[in-house]
Amino acid sequence: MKYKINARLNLIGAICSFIVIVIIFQLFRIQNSEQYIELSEKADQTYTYEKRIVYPERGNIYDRWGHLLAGNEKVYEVGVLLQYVKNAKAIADTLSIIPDVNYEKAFETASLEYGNGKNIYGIIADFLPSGVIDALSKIKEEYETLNPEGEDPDLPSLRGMVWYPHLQRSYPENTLAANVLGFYKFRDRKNGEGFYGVEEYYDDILSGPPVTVEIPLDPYMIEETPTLPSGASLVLTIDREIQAMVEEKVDEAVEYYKAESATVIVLNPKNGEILAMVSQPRINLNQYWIFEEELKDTTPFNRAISETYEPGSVFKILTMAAALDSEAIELDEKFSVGQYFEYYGSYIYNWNRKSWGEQDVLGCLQHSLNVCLAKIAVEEMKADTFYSYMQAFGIGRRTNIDLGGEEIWPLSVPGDDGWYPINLATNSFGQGVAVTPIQMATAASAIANGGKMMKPHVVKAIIDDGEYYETSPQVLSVPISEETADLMNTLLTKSLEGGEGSLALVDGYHIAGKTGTAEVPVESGYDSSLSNVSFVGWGPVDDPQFLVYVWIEKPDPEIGYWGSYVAAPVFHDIVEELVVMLNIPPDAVRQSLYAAGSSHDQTD
Amino acid sequence: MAKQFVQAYKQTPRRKQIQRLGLYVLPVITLGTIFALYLIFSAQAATAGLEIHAYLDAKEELQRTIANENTQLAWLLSNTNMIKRAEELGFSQISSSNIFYMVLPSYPGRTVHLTSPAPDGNSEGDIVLNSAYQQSLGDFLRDLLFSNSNDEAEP
Repeated sequence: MKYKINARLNLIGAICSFIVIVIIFQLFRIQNSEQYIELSEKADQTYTYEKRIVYPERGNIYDRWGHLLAGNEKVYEVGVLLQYVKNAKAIADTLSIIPDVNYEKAFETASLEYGNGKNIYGIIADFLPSGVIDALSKIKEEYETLNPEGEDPDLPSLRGMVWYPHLQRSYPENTLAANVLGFYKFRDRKNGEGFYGVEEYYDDILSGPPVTVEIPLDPYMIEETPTLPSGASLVLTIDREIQAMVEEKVDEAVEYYKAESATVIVLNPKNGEILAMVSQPRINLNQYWIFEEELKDTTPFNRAISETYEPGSVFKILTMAAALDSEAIELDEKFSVGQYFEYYGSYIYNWNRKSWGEQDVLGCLQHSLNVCLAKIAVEEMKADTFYSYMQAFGIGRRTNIDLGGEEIWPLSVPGDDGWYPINLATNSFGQGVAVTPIQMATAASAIANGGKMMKPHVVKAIIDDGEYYETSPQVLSVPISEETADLMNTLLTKSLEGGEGSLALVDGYHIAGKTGTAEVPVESGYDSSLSNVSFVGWGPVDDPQFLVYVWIEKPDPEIGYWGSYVAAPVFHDIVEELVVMLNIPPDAVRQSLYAAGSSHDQTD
Repeated sequence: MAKQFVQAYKQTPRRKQIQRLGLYVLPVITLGTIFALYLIFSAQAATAGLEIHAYLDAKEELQRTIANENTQLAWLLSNTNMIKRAEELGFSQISSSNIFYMVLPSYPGRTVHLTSPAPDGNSEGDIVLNSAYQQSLGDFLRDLLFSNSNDEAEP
């Protein structure tokens, strides 16, 4: 009996053990079978991870004092999770109240059959502000109370309608500095990129590339989210207040003179920092998609860097600086300035078509005499010297300013197909040669800055990863010596005080400058009824802290034709406020403060 | 005394059966305990994992909200609004002739002050997950039994 019981127990034990061993064996076998591995991998791919494209936050753009010019704001995408939609009509009805949402399209999206290949989620509207989402949320709640779970098909239900937040580029100043900033095509969320200005030039820095990350859905497989660096932020050299003031003056000038457009650049000649850059038209960057309507035909986004034109007499300061620096002429040299100058069968006239008799260097500049400058270029300097100086001044070359869309017009030199000997004569006073306003302002800054031409730039610092990196000013070239620059400063100050551009003068400040009036080239030659007027000036002459370049395109000749009457007053109006904004005291006050400061230092 | 126990067992096969049954049930109970522990730890790990997911989502939302708030602040402080506000308060543009200039030797001049902070570069990294959240009970026991040092990762 005892043995029977033992045998039974042993048998049961053996069977149980066998079953356990078989189960364990099967577990190992199944878990290591090819089918299991294949199925497991498939399940991992399908159900374990969710692939998500992550867009790093685009860097901010600030003005030189830290005011935000471009940032990011939260907006929402509204869509439908088709699996949960109960009443497509109610969804379409509700969303069609939003501007830009089409009822038919919304209804079609919400009515898609769930599954059926890829139909899981459909987007109906995007870039909606939080206010709209609050309203939608309220309506959804009301409908849910009225029709719980959306069970009654005759009652409205917004079940299935969802919204997801994301960031959108935002420009809090709207049109301010639009030409400098450019815009980011935020409506194209997958392939958005910067266009024009800083947004284009620094696109790679501002936005880290979108990254596809795999987010584990299995909570056991939780992983650290990958480090996605936000885009770097930029601090511009632009001063918001100065920019706004200059924009106001430019708009007033265009309206008053009924001009086609106007462009003004304010820069610091000592380091090339652009304090303001204004051109017309300017678009509201928050509605960048209408820019093609605003900028008709071939109108450039930023005339200051993208439109070339014949600058006229402002160019004479470069010719005269080159002539003095190359010692082709002496300061006290006299020139016989007749009514015209004949060269290779062409005639060069003065602006008033009159003879000016004997003139010295100052007289030639003061009265802006074409004949004098043509003679200096042709008879004294010769082509090789003239053009090598113009190239040193950057004419025909990019300034490489850090803005997207800089254009140039090549400088024709002897030997080029389009160059004729008469070009030397006309180029000397700024006709037959085309520049952008930034090229002209940069070239003039060499005279203001003791002969050193600084590279113009709009980015003062880059903030990356919390670190603040200042950019360093760069010397583009040194076209003339410091002595020549000083001499030119003296000449241009005197010429302004007693010459054609006296309307540019600002009480209390010594300013150097030059007016310019150029006929507008047309297919058949030049249209003398239209003009491009300009003025370049800087100050205070003994310590230049600003250079202002004004170009007004085709003012109504009945209101004003000459640079001295159109561009010079605009320069005056700008500088009058600029000196206050830059904290530049009148010269007399400044010199007395310097004296007081130095005596204070000595006392210390 | 020991002999009496042996004798008692031999005379009552029931006790022997219980002893054998106990021997069979023991591994079952052990396995059950291990499975129970496994379930408890797994459930805790899953809860922690879900919480981390929720925190990561909340962090993303916070970053968006911060960016949004900064931009909204910039809208309020925009040049147009500030000029309007200044005019409402009775301020007007001054000319240089009406300004009294003076030298302040220790004044460093105007400095950059970001009205809205730049987006964080995330270089400090995200959460560093404790390895316990990612290991099974088997991994945990193996680490505990076979690793020489108590090298469990610290968060």
